[in-house]
Amino acid sequence: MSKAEQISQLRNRLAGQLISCDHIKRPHAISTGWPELDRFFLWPGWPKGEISLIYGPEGLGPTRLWMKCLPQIIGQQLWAAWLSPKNLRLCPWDLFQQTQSGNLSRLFIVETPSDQIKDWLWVTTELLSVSLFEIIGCHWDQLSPKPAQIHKLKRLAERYQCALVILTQQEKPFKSPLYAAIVQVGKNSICIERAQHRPTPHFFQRRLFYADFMPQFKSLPTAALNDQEDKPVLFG
Amino acid sequence: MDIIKGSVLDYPETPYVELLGRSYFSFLQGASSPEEMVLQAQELGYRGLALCDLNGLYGVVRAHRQAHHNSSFTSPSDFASSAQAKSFQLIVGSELKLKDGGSVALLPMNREGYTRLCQLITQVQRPSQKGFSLFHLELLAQHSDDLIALALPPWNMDELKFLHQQFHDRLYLALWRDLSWQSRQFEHQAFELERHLGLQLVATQRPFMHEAQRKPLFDVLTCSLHRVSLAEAKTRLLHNSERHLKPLRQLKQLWQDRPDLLERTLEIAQRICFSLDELKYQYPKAAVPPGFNSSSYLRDLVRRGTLWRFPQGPTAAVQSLIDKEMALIEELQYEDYFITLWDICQFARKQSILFQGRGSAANSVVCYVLGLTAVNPEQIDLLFERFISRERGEPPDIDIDFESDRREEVLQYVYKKYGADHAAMVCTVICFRTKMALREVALALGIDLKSVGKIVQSMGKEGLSALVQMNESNLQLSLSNWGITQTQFQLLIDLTRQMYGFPRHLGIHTGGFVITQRPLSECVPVEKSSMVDRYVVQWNKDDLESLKMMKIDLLGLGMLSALNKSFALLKEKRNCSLSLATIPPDDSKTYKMIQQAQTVGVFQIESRAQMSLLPRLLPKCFYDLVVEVAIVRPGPIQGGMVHPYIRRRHGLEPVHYAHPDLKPILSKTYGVPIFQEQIMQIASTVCGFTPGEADELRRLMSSSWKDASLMQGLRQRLINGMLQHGIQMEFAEQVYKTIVGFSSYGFPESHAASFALLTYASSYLKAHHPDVFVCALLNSQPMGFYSPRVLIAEAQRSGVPFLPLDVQHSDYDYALEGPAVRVGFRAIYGLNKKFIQQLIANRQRHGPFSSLENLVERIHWPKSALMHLASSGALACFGLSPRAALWKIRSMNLERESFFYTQSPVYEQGPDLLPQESEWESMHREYRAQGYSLSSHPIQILRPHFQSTKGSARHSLQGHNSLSIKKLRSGQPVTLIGLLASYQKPPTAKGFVFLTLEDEFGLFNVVLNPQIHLRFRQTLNANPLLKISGCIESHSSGLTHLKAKEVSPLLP
Amino acid sequence: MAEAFLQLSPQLQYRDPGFIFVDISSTTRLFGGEVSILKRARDLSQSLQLETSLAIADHPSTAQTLSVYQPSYISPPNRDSETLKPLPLAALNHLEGLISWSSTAEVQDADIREIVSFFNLVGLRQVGDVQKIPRESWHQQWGKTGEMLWRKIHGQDQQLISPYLPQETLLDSLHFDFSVSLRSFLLHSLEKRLQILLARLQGRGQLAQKLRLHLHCEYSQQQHFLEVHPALPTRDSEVLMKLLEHKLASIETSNPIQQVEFEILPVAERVEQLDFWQPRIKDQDRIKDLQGLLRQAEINSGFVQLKDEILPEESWQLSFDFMDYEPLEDQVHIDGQSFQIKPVHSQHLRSAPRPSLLLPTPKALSSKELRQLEFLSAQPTERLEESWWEISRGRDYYLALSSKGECLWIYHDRIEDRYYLHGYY
Repeated sequence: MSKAEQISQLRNRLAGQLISCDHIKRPHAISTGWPELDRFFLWPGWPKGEISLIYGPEGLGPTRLWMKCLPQIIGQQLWAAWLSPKNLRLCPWDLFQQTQSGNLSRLFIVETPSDQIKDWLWVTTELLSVSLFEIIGCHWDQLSPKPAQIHKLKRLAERYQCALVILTQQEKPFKSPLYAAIVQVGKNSICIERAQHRPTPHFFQRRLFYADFMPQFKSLPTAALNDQEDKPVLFG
Repeated sequence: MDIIKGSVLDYPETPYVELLGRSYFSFLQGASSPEEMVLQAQELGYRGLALCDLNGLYGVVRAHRQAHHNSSFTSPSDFASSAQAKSFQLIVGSELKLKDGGSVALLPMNREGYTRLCQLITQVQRPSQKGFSLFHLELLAQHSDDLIALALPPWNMDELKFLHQQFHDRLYLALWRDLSWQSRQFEHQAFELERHLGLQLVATQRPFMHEAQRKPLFDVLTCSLHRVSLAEAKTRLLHNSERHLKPLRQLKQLWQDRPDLLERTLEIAQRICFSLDELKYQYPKAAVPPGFNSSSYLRDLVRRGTLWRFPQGPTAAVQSLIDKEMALIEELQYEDYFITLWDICQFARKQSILFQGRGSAANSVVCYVLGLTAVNPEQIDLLFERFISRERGEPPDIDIDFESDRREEVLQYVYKKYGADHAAMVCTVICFRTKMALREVALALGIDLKSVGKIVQSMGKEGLSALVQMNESNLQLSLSNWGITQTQFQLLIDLTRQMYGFPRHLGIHTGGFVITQRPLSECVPVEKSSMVDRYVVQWNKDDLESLKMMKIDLLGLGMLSALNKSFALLKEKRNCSLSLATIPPDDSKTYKMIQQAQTVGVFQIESRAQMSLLPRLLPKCFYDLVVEVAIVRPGPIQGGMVHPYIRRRHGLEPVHYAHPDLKPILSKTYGVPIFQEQIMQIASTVCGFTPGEADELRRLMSSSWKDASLMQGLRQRLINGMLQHGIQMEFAEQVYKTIVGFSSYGFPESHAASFALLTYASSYLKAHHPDVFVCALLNSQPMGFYSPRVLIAEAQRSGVPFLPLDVQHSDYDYALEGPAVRVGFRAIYGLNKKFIQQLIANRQRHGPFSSLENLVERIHWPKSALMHLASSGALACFGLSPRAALWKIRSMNLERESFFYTQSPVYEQGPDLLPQESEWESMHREYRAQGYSLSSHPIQILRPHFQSTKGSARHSLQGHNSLSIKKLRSGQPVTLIGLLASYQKPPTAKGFVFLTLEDEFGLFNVVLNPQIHLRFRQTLNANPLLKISGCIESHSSGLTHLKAKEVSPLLP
Repeated sequence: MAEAFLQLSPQLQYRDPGFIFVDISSTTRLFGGEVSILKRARDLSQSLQLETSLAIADHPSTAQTLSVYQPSYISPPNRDSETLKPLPLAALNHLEGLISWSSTAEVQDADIREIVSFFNLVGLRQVGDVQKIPRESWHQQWGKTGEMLWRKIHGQDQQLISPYLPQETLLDSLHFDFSVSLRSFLLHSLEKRLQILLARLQGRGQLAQKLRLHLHCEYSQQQHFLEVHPALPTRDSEVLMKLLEHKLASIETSNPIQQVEFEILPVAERVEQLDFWQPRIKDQDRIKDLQGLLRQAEINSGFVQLKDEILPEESWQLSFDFMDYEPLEDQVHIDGQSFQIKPVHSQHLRSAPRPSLLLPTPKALSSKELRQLEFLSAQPTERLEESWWEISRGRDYYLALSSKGECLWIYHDRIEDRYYLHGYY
């Protein structure tokens, strides 16, 4: 019997159980705010109850990538938390522009002065155990947690069904198997190194990422820094 | 020179016109004056500047004058700027704000466009109160022709579509680059619109100030607009100081990617060909009876007037003057102007409102003949050029004084006759004075109100200089006392100085009127003024003068109403009819009184300086009075004219003239120049000025706005003229000094003459009918130099008895009762006139009041008004002491419905509980109620206490008072006590202060030298009752005053 | 502070500004008569360094007036009206007693001043003269206020003082201008403040169970936490001071102490009843608990509070609880048809592009780093100038790409003429 007949025979037999792909109930996740990335992930966004990792130098926009998910969450009156690094402060003005109501009462921010890993872990566990936040972004700067600690966080995240996203500036961070998604922000491209049930690595044009951001800058000629030709008179 | 597209670098100079200049006439939203904007634009080499203030054309005339100040005295060094001034284009325009934040600037392309703009602004501003506007786009539908529109961001589509339909190719989108993100967004939106809708763009800088250093001041103005301090202002302030006029090189570099937008500004400027000089002004056709035209009617009026003024026919000289004047009037077509004035005066005469023309009009015989002025040409020689001159080509400027109480009737008559569209008042710009500016800046800097009050108080009367000249030690002391730091203090001084003179809002000129043939709103926007149904034009007196527009001044004069009341009282009470014209001239009793300087209350010669001069000048005839009125002015004093005139008049000094030609001019004033006319005659005869130039010299010198280069040019012309005429250099220098010193304060002879008439009339009345005169004076308060208290005390001393306030007899006004003067209810502070009239009417209808209850029942006054009446002692006729009356009224039941109405509780024995009023307390109560006390004088009560105190022997009181010191010889030490009547610190007196103090016997003068004044300034400011010790200085003419050494408050 | 006077009598009432009324009618005998109780009160206030003026009278209102005009005077029983007689008329303003004029509706401050001014007008100078006026004319003239004033003048105004219920925590802090490293000086200054707390404990009839200290050092924000547990809850200051001295010996004071916060955890002399019912916790409560926890560990947390400032780093801050943000816009005043606009010139700064992360203190760039940067535009994207009345600041902001492709926010300080890195996009 030719291959085609075998397949049709198999389909008839399984007809009762086969369902089309749009009937698959996709597991629960929080949209990243970037449509292409959502479509790529099986879970449409940061998986809930899982830990995801974004790494890359700060200027390339890992924080901006994480913040893109906030307008939607705040729009649905859900809670989000941000654990900001020691010497960097989250600037809310872009977020204020994007949320229609401009009401940031659902964004909780923690600024830790210390730089030991155990403090960060303690704060993260506290944030998780409140079981209030949909998504928690922790910016661990140059710190790198041990596998056991990640395992503990994974269990907590699973129990409280909260999406934990870790951002770090390390070049080659420790990629624990427990991470559900790993995103590396590079100079020209954004590379998805791990995503469940998806062929990885997958690359996105970084230019796309800036598509909606500062269109005005596209038209400006980039000129080398020329010395300021006239000393500006300031209240002489 | 052709512009090579794209290669900008080798272009010699970018042509640029700033199309959205804004001056401080945008009231707290602009930080530079129109002159500064124009000067800066010219210096930076702009081709032109458009002055677009918010909702109005307030500053355009000043900018126009600055841009085209072509005066005949421009010195050679000025030639460069004036040539360049020729190519500089001053564009008139205005910016109208929309409710949604955007705005539209309109630039008229020609005269019709300008008319439409004025009508639009009038339509927007007239119905709304100060600072508000009614502008919405639909208004533009009827007014869009001949106008260029610059639409300013934020734009929205339907607005732009509507504007595009209205203005077609005359619509431009204005955008600017001030290094802010907002300007980049607007720019981006503008380029989109240009690409899709093909709208035209134009570059501007949207300047709020002429240079970056003005940013601090602009922030302070923004704070006072929002009523916040700088710390709380946050984003209300401009975030950088880029909004100023930038040099062309910087503009070129800023717009290097779109140089065409800069060139378009020149294109727009070239489409505009309108200047304010085109405002032809036609004076309205006067209502002329049938069969006459204006000139024939005027000629007839003059003929009839001449017969009236000169019953036995005019002398040949006067007749030739009349013919000369009529010829000039007809040549310059000013007949309608004279007929209008004559008509207004005719109305006043019918309503028997006293009036009198003054100013330059008094130089014209035609005015005298028409009855506008009362100065007989035979008494003083007139200089007609001073009134109208062919070269000047300016309309005559006539001021007419009316009785201050009845001036309103005349104004309403003019409004009714010409209609509100053709007549409006001239505006004055109310500017920030030092005190107000200091308060605004202090509030902006966050200094609390209490310390501001302290700073203002310590500034005293000298203004900012008092603060700046403080030496280091007490500066630190006061800084800590005010609670501000050194930098704050420095900022406070700098910003207050910059803010001085900025306009706060529009006010009404006291009497200036503009009347036009065509509707007024065609040549100047008209606004609503704060007073009810009064409209005001947006230009002030100087603007109208520089545009050669005709203005008449209808002013109010208190003395005229006082004289009118005196004549009425004389006719009614003393049945002797008297009028201004029929007062017997040269009455010896009047001149004797004037020579003894008993002139308190008399017009013009009652001030301290005048009274000290009268015994030395001893005026004997009318012309002496004219000189007396003119001589005590800063001009003659600065010019050092007063003393030589007195000495020459009494023959103590020979009369000499620098040059024989001066003799005819100065002979009447013993060779000493006093009047402005004399200066003009000197300029024209000796320095070779034409009469017109001489008059421009006068106007230039007296205008508040002096340009240094002009003064330099003027000095050259004067000195050269005199040298050519053969006058030695040092004398020419001396004449120049008198002219400059004279300039802004010199008094025109014609003006002095019309005032002297009133001076003589009021002196005559005071001499012959003192009671009538003081009664009329008190009824036309507030006016004159002295308060009612001093007038009454003076009258009492000269034997006029006064009767106290009484509910049964007093009227609203002071009245004559037999020989005495009955005080009127108007004297009581805080009592409403309506209540008083109600009381008097009730009394006249139902007869006198039987008791307090009967009074209260009949006149239904509120309790507070009754308390005022009781505390003034007017209820003595009911046998109630003021305190008892107060208590009874207080406990009265005043609800009309209640059964107990006007009943106070029957068991009320409150009044006898009250202690008896002491003499001091009753005097204090009367002072508080009406400002004076008839029964006693504070010094009279206090004197016994001071008599008894031993005090230091040398300065003991020895019972001296204002009368006894007249007999003491000069240099004798004495201590006097008195109540402060007047405080004067004339600028010309180099820091000396002149006080007039009063005790129960009369007035005495005190002089404080600067050091003494500085030491006792606080005591002087704080308490009116003073004890002054010093030494007597008496003058040969019997004038004595006290040279103060020590001042101390009388009461602790 | 009022609690310390609980020792004199349980019936005590505090009324601001700074009045303490004590009903000693029941407890005078305990302290041996009015004179001694007055002396005791004066010693107590001296020990707590309070400058107070005291007076005793039958009625609170009379006592208050006497404390102002005749300090430490004891008015003989039920002869209040005589004591008031010689006082000047202005004393009427002080006859408030337990309820201050401004709080009661029917009496207005202005009324009293107006009555006083009328009396002056009519020539009356002392309270004695006013007392002669019959009650009916008071009522007639000024209605209820007059009536109430008449009662107060004649000492017939009944006001009862209710027992005092303590609520505030026993917390106090001490700040040293020159930081302290000498232990003895530290102990000495602590002792004075401790006395006050112990006096309050005594007033409330409680004992100190635990004394907790929190010392802030001057350098590098170092802190010390100390807890002193007396064996038995006590109010005895020597015991506590000795324990404290012992505890302080343990910490090294090379890093001098700048500020001390200390708190006493009281325990009632009798055991207090605990309440068992635990309400369901709302979101806000959970956040509050979390924040309390983080605050214990000195970790700053909270919500974003946006502010209308020109400088970016000042334009928002972290605030403990959420506050709404109303952006500052042009003020449009309407009057009938016409309107007036008062422009807010820099309101657009809200919509300007800001980086996602800002450096709290901008990092100065060396010329080498500067050369590696590639600026997106020759002209600055924004020029911000600010506060010329204090320290004037002038910054030109640029967007730049680093060699690694990072998008940075650089500004050029025009006053110091240096470049700084301020944020990452």
